Amino acid sequence: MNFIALRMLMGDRAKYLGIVFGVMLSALLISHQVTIFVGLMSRTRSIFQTLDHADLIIADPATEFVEDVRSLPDTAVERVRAVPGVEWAVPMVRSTIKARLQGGKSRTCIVVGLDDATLIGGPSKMLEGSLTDLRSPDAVIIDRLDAEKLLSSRRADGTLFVPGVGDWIELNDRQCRVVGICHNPRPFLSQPIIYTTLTRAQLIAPPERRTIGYVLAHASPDRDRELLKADIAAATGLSAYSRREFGFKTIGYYLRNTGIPVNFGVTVLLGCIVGIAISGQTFYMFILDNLRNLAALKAMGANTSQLVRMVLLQASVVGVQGFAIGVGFTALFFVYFIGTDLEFDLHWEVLGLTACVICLIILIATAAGVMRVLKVQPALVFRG
Amino acid sequence: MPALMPIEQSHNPGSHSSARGLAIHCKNVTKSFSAGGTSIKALRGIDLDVKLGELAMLVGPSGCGKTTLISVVAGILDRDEGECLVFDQDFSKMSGRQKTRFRGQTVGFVFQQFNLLPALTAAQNIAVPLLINGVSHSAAVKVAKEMLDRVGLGDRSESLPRQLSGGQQQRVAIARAMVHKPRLIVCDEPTSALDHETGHVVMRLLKNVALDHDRALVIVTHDARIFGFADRVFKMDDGRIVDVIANPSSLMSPADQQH
Repeated sequence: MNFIALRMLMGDRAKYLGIVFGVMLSALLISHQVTIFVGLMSRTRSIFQTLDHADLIIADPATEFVEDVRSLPDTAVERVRAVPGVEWAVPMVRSTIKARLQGGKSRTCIVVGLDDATLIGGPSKMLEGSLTDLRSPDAVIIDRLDAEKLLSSRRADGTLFVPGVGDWIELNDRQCRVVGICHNPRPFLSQPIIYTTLTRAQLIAPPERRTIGYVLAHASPDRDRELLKADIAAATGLSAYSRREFGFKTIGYYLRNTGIPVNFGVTVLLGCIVGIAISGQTFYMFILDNLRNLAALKAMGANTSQLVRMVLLQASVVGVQGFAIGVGFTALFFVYFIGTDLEFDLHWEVLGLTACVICLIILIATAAGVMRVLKVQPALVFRG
Repeated sequence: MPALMPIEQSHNPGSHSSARGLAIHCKNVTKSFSAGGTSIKALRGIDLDVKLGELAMLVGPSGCGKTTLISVVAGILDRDEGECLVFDQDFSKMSGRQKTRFRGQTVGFVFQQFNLLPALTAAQNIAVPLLINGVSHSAAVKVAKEMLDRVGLGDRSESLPRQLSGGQQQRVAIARAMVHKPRLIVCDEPTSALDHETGHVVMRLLKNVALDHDRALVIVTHDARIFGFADRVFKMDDGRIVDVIANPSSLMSPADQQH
């Protein structure tokens, strides 16, 4: 019976392709949009994704998200270090500055100042140079994509200038030398991130009474992290978060305070509606067109459960094919944009979610057809 | 051909022949339909006996109850009252699943519009009743091809229905009706969609190939040109059998008789 079901399905090529197209479009829209949404949300916390060494991020209690830097007193680092169970703690500066580009244009950048001694909090992957090169005079490290897109500019003679290792860039009227090119997870905001030492960052950044943005800390191996967070909060009046907590706090802020989830949600909903409308309607028409054949099968001895299984098999086949093609296109899209601003990871969770939604779409699309099959009377076949 | 599973020992139609040599025994069968709040009596006390090895035709004007009667006889519709035994089996005493299985093993169908599945080849269409009964695909298609030979279409086994003429499609439908060796074949207007010549070819096939001493054929038709093929013609009107003609060739025109 499976053979008959599949031949019936694929024999009506127009409807078969129509149903697969509908499911494919849904899978494409859902997986594509959810991937970008998840990727964008992930980018909001990207600055701390590279902190492999630090367990804890200590910030002002009023801080709502990563970019919401509320400067801490210079004593914050010492006070955190004084809490029992803290193995080490280092400051991190995060300031907004102006970079003057070749040709006279300027660009707002984020300068990240790393602890001079340890350089903890630096980029995850160096493409050229090394992190320790930051200890040389006037040294900065920039991201490859930032260099190519945001920090590049036309010289007076019209040629393109892309800053590389050994080139000088002007940050807040200070000449800085590029000593390394890194590759970082893309940030949410489209501002170049420039790494340097804490001391140099304080020199480059506009003068402020407080300059430290965050304190990065590491717990002793024998210390319970939850208790340590509470102890830090009690001793310093600051809030301590794990990287994961701070990441989700940031994501929560963007979800609550921006239209991003609504916009992507609407697109995903449209994907579902398109899938149900196209696939459901076409599948129902397919069932209606085949009612007489199904009645004939029933007259010839096929029972209702056999017919329902045939319909479910047909629905499963178009569902799997549409899903595979849809997420295949999504994967191709993101493979094509690897190494660009549109580079996003296609997580298995997104594939799982898309598969669940497609299952739901197929179930809804099939329900009406199955209802007709349940009611089909073999006597129908004798009607002229 | 692999043996088909019997539905139950007590309902196994193949286990013995009818004690009275009857394929169908109907007594005072009634059937009503309700439409728009009114009850329409389609069958008003039908008495019908069809013997093994007999080709019986049900004829009469549209709406006289012919199709309802073969639907009841084939177990597609439930009667309201009366008695109807098919090979001594009473559909009213079977569950829905038993009835479906009995139909799948005992009854073959030939429909007016052929009802071949358009996506299946001729051989695959013929194999459908075997597939329904659980025979493997390869075995079913092998038997189907042998059956296709018997109806003279051995060279068209890979043809799709749309590639066949009306007459060829009906021959495929006849082969499909016979492939699982049913003991009763019911045909609904098997020649009405065919021209005169092809209709006769189809009827000869039904008479010579489909009919044997252990099988009965019941044909519903309007087509007076084929009455001569019947052993008996049951004339129906207004839900009743009003006449039984034992020498139906007398109903045919001289030209058809000569043909």
